[in-house]
Amino acid sequence: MIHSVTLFNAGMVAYFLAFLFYTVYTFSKSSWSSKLATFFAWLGVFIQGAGFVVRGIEKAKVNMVSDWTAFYKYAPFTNMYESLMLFGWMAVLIYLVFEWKYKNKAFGMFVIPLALIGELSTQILGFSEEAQPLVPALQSNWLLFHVVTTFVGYAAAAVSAGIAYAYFAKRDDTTTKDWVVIFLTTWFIFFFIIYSAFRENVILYLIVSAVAAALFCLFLYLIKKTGISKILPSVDAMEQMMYQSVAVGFVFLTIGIILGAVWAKYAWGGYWSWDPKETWSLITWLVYAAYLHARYIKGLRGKPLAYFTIVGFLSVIFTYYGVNLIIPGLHSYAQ
Amino acid sequence: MFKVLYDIFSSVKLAIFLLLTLAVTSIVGTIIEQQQDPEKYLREYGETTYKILKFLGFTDVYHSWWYIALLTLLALNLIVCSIKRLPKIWKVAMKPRKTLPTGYEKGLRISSSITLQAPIKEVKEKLVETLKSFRYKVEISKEEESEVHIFADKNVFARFGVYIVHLGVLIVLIGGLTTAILGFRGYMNLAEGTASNLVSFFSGPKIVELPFYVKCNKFKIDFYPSGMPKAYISDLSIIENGKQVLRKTIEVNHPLKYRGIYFYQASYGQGEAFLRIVSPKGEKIVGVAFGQPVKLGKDTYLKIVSIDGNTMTIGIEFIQNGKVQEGAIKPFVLYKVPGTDKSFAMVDFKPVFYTGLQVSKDPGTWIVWVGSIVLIGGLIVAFFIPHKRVWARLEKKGEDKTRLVIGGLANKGNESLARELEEVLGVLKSSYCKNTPKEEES
Repeated sequence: MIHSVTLFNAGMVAYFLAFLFYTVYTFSKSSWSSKLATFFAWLGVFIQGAGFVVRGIEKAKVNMVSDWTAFYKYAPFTNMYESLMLFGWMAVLIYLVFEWKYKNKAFGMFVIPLALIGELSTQILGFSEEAQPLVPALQSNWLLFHVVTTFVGYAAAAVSAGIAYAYFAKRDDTTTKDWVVIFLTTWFIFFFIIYSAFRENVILYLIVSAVAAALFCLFLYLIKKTGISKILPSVDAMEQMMYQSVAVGFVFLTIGIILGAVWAKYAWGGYWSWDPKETWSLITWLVYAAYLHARYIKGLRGKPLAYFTIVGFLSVIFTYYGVNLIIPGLHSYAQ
Repeated sequence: MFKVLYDIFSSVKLAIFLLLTLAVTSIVGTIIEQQQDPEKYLREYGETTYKILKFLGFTDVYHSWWYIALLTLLALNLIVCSIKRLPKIWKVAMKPRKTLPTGYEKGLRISSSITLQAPIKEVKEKLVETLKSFRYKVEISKEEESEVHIFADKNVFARFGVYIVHLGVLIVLIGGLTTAILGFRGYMNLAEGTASNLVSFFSGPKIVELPFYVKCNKFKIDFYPSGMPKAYISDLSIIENGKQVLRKTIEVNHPLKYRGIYFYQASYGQGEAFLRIVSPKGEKIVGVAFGQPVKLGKDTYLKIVSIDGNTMTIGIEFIQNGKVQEGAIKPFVLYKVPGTDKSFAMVDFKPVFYTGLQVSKDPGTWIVWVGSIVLIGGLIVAFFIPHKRVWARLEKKGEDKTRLVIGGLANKGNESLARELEEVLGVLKSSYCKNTPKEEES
């Protein structure tokens, strides 16, 4: 039988082609490249979807279970490799839903590479792609629902942050101060991801991530200066899209946290233990709750709201990478 | 004074401040390990830093007075905010202007007008019927010979989504409070064949006596071929008044519940000690797992915690009146238990596995679940269900001619309302515009 890793890799190739065609479409507006872009993005989603099913079967095998329900019980989202695949897959899927709903393909060029980088990072960061058996604590019917809802939340948070960055490229009044904030936040994201995986050479990582962040800022700056930002939706529409993806993310994050609590009740003996993962997911929840309230204050509309979504995403990054890899706790099996 | 406080607590700014403050202070507890022994902090941080951390509550952030104060302020803020805004929202939602005077359609996000080839009465009935078929609540708000006004709305409850969310958060907080006051979490270590009713708390030296005994009949570990553990399985019995009332095999994720108390498969360990306990009435030998207390008198317990095979020194914890004393004893030597007429000696040791059970009682859990369901329901209503309202004015333009002005407003996402209104108009057009479709731009 075909190996799940092969399917995940094939999906990445499809995403890469989609990214190329989204870029071609952005610059040339040709309808065939637009159609091909969407086609390859969906193709990638289908191939990786099949990848998850195959993965589930493989996991059932290493868990020495043979009936077909094993796929659902031994959900393939239990280590860094699998969860990053899920993250990329979810991000593309959510993007495609937005594309279909808003009939706007301008964000494909931004979101697809984000998902692709997430998935490719498993290779760069050296996460094992082997299907591993489940420790007793993870053998639960809640696993699938808890992980999937949480990851829809994470992916929606990533989409909202992506829109927030593009928003600064779109606005006419983006100041030097804004660019500094964009640089610092992306620097933190890149550094944090590399550091949490290796934890060796801090200074080297700081430099590498600073270069990556600078390139990202340059990319945004060029989009703004060359007028490509014109193809982005209007400032108002982008604010609305940011809000909608946060709304989706917030609802799923809440459901994910609550399902986690239900599971914890059965596995750890209490619905809440102030485990670092639980606490960080609460912190993320609080930041997004603050964002949702900030919308009602006149002085905080516009740029401050975009900052809020970026901070929310930083918190997601910390919840995911930081807690899995740096802080020990009850969730440490996610390594 | 009251007015000032009321204003402060009803502000959204305070809510944002409190949410962000809670977020930032919560970080502390994920950086500094919480609820550890003082010795561990002293080793890691030194005395001065430990004193500062302790003073600030940083060694137990989530139970510190200031964290609880922040949560209380948030709850107050939430209640006062809701009380202040609810009457306004109630008015907007339940008592809207129901007529559509000439020119008011310009103020609506969606509006259009059309002239139909039918008498006003017929158009009115058709419109009411069509709106009802789209599940609107329809009301004829003004009816005259030459002019009819219609108001229709649906999902009015969606206006209150935010309050449902807030209610859910409050219920969850109440559940948390109930847990903190009435619940406990502790552990029991049971070697095969032994029974006990003593639960040691995770925090502090407190020991609870359950009104029944738990016996471990069997404990085993299954392994994957790689040597990784696959399952921990304990066969437990509940013994009440000397009789077995329940027997169940538990695993991780599948606890045993009896009289509101849950027993979880949490850990395992190695070592069973055999104690000879001598009292004026006679003597007996009892087997007990390492870490599990044995009762020697009122508020007097003994735990065997370790054994050093080379020196034959046995580590013990002696707990009397809520105070712990650590010590070491030698095998076979009879020790007098202070404050009682008993003596004990350790007479045997077996390196068998024992099962580690987590024991918890938590009457707050159900409150939290109810709050969670309310919270999720509220979020879905607040984010995804729009309150839609439609106003229409029918003007008589002749015996068989009626002008219809129709418009609508939704509190979120006008697209779906626009689509619905188009469909409503489509129904009317297909009924009354057979040959002379004549539309005006609005």
